[in-house]
Amino acid sequence: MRKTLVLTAALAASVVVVAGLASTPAQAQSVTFTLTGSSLAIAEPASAAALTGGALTGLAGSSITGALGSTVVTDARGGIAGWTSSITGTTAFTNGTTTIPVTSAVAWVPTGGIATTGVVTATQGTHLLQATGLALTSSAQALVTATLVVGNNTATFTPQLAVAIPANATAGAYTGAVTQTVA
Amino acid sequence: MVGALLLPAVPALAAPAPPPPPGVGIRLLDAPTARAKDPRAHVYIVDQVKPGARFTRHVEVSNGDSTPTDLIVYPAAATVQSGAFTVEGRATAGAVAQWVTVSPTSLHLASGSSAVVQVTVAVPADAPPGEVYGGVVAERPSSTSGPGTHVSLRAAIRVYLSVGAGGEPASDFSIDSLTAARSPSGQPYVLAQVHNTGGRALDLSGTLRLSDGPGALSAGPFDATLGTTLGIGQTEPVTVLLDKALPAGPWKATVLLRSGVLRVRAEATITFPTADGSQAAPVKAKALPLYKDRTLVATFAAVLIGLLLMALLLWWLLARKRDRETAEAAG
Repeated sequence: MRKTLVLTAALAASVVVVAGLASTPAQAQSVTFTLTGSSLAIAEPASAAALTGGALTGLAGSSITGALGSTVVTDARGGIAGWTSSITGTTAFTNGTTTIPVTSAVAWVPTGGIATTGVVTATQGTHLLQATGLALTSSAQALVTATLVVGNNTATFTPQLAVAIPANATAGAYTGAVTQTVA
Repeated sequence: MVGALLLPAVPALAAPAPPPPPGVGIRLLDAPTARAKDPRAHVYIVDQVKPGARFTRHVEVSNGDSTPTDLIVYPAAATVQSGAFTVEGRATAGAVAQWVTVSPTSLHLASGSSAVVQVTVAVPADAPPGEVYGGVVAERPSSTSGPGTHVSLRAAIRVYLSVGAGGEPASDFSIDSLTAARSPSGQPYVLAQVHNTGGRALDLSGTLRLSDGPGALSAGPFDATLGTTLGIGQTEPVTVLLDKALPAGPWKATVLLRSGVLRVRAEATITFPTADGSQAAPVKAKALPLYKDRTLVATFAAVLIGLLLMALLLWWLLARKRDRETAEAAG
């Protein structure tokens, strides 16, 4: 009797242990906890960037260049996740008569133009010169990518922009828009 | 090794909240307890849901500029390619843009202030299985007056949402080969070719160790870097920068990469080329076993229980034999 009892108890214990190991934790989507890291932010002067203009005769067929304001990405999340800063050609450049599509613009960050603080490796890839610049499109494309992140970090860079002026462009003040995103 | 200032992590709850960083900022406020160990779930909205599921998260949007700002908040689609995760515009169609709603959708924030935005994800009952990518975006639209190039600013929290009626698709990746190379400035580096063979996108990080080198030297660990994200089925190189002082080799290189809680290890014997700006031929990497803790414990426990049961059976049979002998002796 005692032997049977011990055997049954041992078997029951084994079954419980095996069941415990085999079961997977329930998907506790409704149970959350609060995070204490801080934010990922991007800053840029609010005023519009002026690209150097000039006489139309000299410019038509070439491109005008300028700098977007100094962009500062602050990663205060305190983790090891990298971030990507991308640029989108949002609105074509127009003076009311001529519209220059966003695909005529290229963006780049000159070599050594990314200043960082904290442990981070931020790179603009091959987009170091106008010749190898990132051709803007209406979709977002990565311009500066940060990896090897440990803890809080910041990166400051000034994207340069060059817009190719078509041969049939008319004179006037052009207005366009780009979007810078960090995620 | 990248030597730089190490800023301390933001202290939790001990001091009043620090001012928000300059510009448009966004941060994730909560994450599922089931993913407490996944560092990606602490900064991105990462989840695996069944079709028809619905859940809520919260993000905080901040204005760190010296002037008040009007912000709009919205969900957007995103693409993963060439190792980069890019969040698309508001008008781009996509699963995340359709399934996610945010409240409020516009905010007026005073300088240095922040506000909480509720993010609700409602997956339709007929959603196809697979992983979708997107972002919860806080945007400061550009001014529209005046000539020049106006700039809109956006800060977004990535969304990695895996939809499936069954359990979470397994994440997995393989390290296919290691290539030893030397940069044009003479610095040695290793390229590890990584292939995402699982069912979810990965954000990789890891280390490389060198051992069995000339004169029995060993070196490392050196940190690995990858262009942030590796999509499903994609193959990208992971770069590990090494010290210029290292001899050329041959070395046994062991690379350990991780994404979230998943870890993969591989090794190969490599020799760095002597010429600057050149790469050696890729060497096929051998995968090293690295059991996930649960599998190891479960196997060990199963073996132990098996032995225990066998021992009990044996004891029971012996006891019966003894009883029979006792009965025979008595009778």
